[in-house]
Amino acid sequence: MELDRCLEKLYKGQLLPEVTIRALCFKFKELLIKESNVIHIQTPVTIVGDMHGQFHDMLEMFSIGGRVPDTNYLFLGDYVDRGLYSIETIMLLIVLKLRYPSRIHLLRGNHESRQITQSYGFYTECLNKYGSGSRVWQYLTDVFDYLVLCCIIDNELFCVHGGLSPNVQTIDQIRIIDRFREIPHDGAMADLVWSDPEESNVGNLEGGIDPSNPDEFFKKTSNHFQVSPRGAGYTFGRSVVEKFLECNGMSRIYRAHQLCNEGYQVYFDGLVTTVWSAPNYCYRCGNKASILELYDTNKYYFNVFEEAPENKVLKENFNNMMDGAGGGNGMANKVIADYFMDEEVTDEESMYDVDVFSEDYQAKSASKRSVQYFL
Amino acid sequence: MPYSNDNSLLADGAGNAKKAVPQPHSQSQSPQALHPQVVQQQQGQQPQHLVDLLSTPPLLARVTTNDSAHSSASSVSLVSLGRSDSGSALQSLPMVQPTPSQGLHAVHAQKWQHTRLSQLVQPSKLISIPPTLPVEQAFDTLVKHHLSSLPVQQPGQDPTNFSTFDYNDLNFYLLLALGRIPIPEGNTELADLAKRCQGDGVSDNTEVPVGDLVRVTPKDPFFKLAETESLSNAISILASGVHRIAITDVQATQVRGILSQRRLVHYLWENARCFADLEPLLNSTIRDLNIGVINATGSSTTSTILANAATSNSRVISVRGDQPLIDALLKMYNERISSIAVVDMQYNLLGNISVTDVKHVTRTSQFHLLNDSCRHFISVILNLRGLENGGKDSFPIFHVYPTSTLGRTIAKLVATQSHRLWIVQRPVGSAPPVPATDVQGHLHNSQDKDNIPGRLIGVVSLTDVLTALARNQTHHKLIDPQFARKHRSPQ
Repeated sequence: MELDRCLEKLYKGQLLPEVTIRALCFKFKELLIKESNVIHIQTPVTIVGDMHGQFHDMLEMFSIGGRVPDTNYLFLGDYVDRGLYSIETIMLLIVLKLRYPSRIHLLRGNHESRQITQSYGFYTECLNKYGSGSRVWQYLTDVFDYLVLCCIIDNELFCVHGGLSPNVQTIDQIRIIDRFREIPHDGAMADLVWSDPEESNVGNLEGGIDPSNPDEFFKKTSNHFQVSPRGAGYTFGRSVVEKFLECNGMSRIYRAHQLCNEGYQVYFDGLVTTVWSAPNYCYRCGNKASILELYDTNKYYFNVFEEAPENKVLKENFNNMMDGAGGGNGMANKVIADYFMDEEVTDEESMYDVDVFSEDYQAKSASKRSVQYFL
Repeated sequence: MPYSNDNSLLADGAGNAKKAVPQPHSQSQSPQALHPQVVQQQQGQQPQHLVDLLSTPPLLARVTTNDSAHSSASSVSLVSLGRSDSGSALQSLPMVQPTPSQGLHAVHAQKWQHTRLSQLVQPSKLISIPPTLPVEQAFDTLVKHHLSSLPVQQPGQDPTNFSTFDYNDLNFYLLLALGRIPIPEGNTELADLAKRCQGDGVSDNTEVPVGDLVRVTPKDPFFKLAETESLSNAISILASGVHRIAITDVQATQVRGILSQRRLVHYLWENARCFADLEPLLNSTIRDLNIGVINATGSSTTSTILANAATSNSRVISVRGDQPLIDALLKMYNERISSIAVVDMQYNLLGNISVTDVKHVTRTSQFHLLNDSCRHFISVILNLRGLENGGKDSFPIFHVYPTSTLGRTIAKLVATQSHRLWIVQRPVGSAPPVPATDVQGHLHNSQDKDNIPGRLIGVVSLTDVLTALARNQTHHKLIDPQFARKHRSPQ
């Protein structure tokens, strides 16, 4: 099976040739066009939050949670941008979906967008790895248009990337959205991938809250949506969530979209939970990540994990270069210069059996990566 | 409620667009837009003007004591005053905690113009720096306290007359150090400062005292008001483009605080429920209010926009994404503005660069960014900002439409803590996002899928918002928002 051969390469972190990517994207669109905006799945399933191009951490996650198809997975979006291996990450997920369509489901995140990927790194990564004449970025962002918007597990757990929308009171309203498009700036589709739950201030003394004043201390979240500080979407409080759940006969919401230091974050006594799966985000935040293993509607386990050991090797190599060991400033300048140079990646190179975790490969691929995270 | 199309439960601006430009599907939309009561019956649980509600001021907050007068990190704190019936009309919501009847009466009698300035400032948060402090340390102070400006005060001298150090000065310093500021003949002070910034090989260029710098940089005209004065005086000044006013005690012997444009807008927004006469203003669109800078486009066709861009007819100052960052910094200095739009060749808005972003190029290790493209710099800013916000990435552009209401504009300005919002045009030919109850949803044009970010056609800033509010007053009708910018000069 061709897909199995692709999987073999992808698990090793190899880049597939552009023609292969084009063919896979075509098949992927064929598969997804039949899906509704709202998919229904059953437990047991493992929910995964933002990965953001952290490929090695995703492999780590698979080794912790179990590989597809042994484990069922629901990914909540944000596969690309920020991390340095967005292409490897999204391609592995695409081929896994093609190979095991009922074992893995992919939702759309706010980063699965042409506009966002041009600012947050994915576009640049495609340029660097496939050259300026390639259409890999176009193929993949076209595919993003087909990703579904949300998922319902066991008819009672609502899963979406961001959160709720003032334009959406019922699930049916999500079903009739035309999702096959770039994420708009406003409206229901934008809100679903951009919104956040409101932070309540219970126990937070830093905000100048007076602990002796019970009203202020146990500040409730507002009753309505508020314009989000992100510049898109809204923030929503507990009562909004309660109304939505009651109106639609659901019990909980699972979402991603926000960094969690402990890998996950519970809001409103469990009504909303954020799952975050990118450990040591951007190789500097030092946070943990988690996946949510759902055995049953009411039996679940947050499997918390830290970054993959391979990342430390990568960072060490890069730091050595920046500090002057073996090439010194010359190398650093080259790295910066390379950021805008078009890399000539020939198809033959990517077909070779490369050991992703060797020092040589790491050093070579690090020189092609974007620099700003390490400055 | 007025018949503004914001009342539609449909997507933001979607209803507005229909009002401005007749569209084929508007027939079925208009019953909903004009008769919101129908919508409420259908929806049952939701208030009738839901999106409009989001653009209205929040429920009244308790007087928070942690808002500083000029902190750029002030947060919007909202207290829910108990569960209010969501079906009730806005006017009947209890505004203040104590007995509703007493509260309401006091509240409706209040006019925002008469609020004393003393209510807005907080003296304990005042931080200033001496003019002898080196520029680099002044910069560190700004960063450390998350401020956008600092008073420069000599201890022992009149504390109510002072200059300020802000990011515009830092930008000037950087450009001067790079030799990009032309020095007029005979201006020895500036020439001397330039030499010292650039480092003459003898003294360390990081030791230039901030006092010397702020003497030669362009500044807003300096204003001060006593704390017993009312908001209406302050707003006339701030509406002319001055960014901040010093608030003193009655005898003008000491400074009580600094009132910035942002603080004032923030205050008015948080307390807008008290001021009933603001409501019609907040429901008007920015186009109707004629505030902000909007390119005059008779028709919104692509060719007009491109023509504008090509002949630089655009009234919005911008820089192209492929130009180097240093061009953007120079332009901000030359035009006396604190933020510049970054556009692509077709004049679509890519993002913006503010003068505060200079903080990312002050280290020599970051100097290469000056020659890199503006687009690349935006990427750097966004990535950093996302990390600073606890991993919350923001949308690359903060924008509104000409048909957005003033309320929505203020809500977004306050939420994003920005000083301006870019006015973009809805992509030509694309239908608005499919709203919930749009039965024609499946018929709209599927070709243009909203790929373009939105053409830049204008900008609306805090100054413009204050202008709208100031003009609303019975006095002070003649407000020129460009006044301060025209008068920015070394003092």
